Amino acid sequence: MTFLLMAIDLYYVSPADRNVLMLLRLPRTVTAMLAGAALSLAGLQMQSIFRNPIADPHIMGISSGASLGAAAVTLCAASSIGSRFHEISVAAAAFIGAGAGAAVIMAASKKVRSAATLLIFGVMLGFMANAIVAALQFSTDAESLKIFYSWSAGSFSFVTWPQIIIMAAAICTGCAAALVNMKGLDILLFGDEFAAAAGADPRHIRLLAMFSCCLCTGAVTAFCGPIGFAGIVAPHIAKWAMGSSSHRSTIAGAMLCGSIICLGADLLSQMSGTPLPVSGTMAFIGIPLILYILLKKPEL
Amino acid sequence: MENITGNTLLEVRGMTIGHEGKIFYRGVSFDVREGDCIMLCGANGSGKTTLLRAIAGMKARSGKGSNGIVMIPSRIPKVKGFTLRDFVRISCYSQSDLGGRLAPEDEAAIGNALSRLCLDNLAGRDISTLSDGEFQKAAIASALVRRAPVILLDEPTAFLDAENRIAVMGTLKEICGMPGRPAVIFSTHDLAEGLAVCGKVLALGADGIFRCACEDGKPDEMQKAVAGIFKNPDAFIRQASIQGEENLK
Repeated sequence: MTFLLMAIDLYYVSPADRNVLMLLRLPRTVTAMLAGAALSLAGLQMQSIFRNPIADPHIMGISSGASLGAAAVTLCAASSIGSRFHEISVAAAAFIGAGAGAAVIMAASKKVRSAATLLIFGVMLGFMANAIVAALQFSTDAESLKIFYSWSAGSFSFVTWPQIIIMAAAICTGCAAALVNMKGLDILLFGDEFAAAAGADPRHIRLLAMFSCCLCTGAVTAFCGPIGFAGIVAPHIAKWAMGSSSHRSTIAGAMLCGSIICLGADLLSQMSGTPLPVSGTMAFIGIPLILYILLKKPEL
Repeated sequence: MENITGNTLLEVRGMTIGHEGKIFYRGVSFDVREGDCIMLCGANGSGKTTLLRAIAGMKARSGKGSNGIVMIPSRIPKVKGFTLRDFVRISCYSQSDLGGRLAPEDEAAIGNALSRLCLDNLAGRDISTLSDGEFQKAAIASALVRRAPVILLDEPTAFLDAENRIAVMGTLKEICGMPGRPAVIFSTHDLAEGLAVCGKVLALGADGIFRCACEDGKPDEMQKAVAGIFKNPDAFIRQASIQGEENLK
């Protein structure tokens, strides 16, 4: 509906306004929606494969891995890579960084049985990646640092159409992987042994889900910066609204919820005179909801 | 001296049970026949689950249309947001398509299994609202739907209250007589209740000896085998005979 109104408006506005809409507003809206959908899809899958209600790529260190990859390219290798390939190389580095974080978490999950301990492991992993990023910042010039700072605060602005296309492609692939993995994600909720007894391969299901998570997280983190909390909250709202935990309904539900939450966070960030970082407004929306979830499920 | 009514589904001969390089029992041999209700007992850490997992990896000599041995692990989480019917449907992982949908005949088999275990009025309930006993029965129903020739249950009555324990034990006995005559092997610490329903006992003895005894063997043979899992077997037999006499009165 919004898009329809926008399309109608486009024909009745001045070229300057049209530029504002096409180059600023519309890309930002689309980016926020894509980012929310991607992070929620990643969060939903991580909550299922780790059977942990507050797992998401941000808290488990996957986003930090992606940030590290993106930061390495932005801060160190920016001059050596041509600008044409810059976007795709940042996205690829973020995906590789996310993959590295995911590999460490997967390896740890074999040893660590407790959901809470695994979360702490992920948080520590995030700190570690952030420490390396901080070290990288020292060895870079002022201009790169400025770009880097605005990116690391999280923002849906200044994302270009080519970047949006890369994001959308990654998210579509991630979503396809999740849809193929749907019944595997369902059965994994009942435990590895039960899943294996029913003929499923828990390892295969986890790997496919993590691949999807890395694609989604990497794409969002590369262009919008590390954005947390939407991935934790959206799956819970979707399950509550749909009255079902079956991935057949929660995948679409969580992606929709995530889009709405990110649009909300973006709106909030633009309301004051100077735009606030989205990671900040997201925390305002997300953290109270996460605390509520924790109070409802004290037996993590 | 074994139950000669059913065909042999599994022949275990000279199996060695161990975990992480440590050997618990050698020379484990027993048969599983159609319709057998078998109790597996042993102290904590004696290797009950290990033996069940080993059996789960075997292939049964079963008839057409069955899907191999099914193991129901202990403590399956009761995840909120799935109905009992959804849960059974999800457990039919190998039969369903990518979207988790089943063929009409499998859906009918679910309906059948649920009504046989008197779960049909709970089919639409969220599993998180079921009692542990009802949920355990749902897990058993899922094995029936998969037409398993041998159903293995790891401590199906652990953490259940007395009423649910009796109900689940009764269900185990019941499904052995159902069409297809599946064999059931369950591990348990509720020896008296287990002995009341089973026709064969596999006992992981405290003395490192594996014992197998069946109902139509010599009198009290099953009880003696069970007593073997205690460090002081005589005390158990004495206790059991006192209880037996009380029951006779």
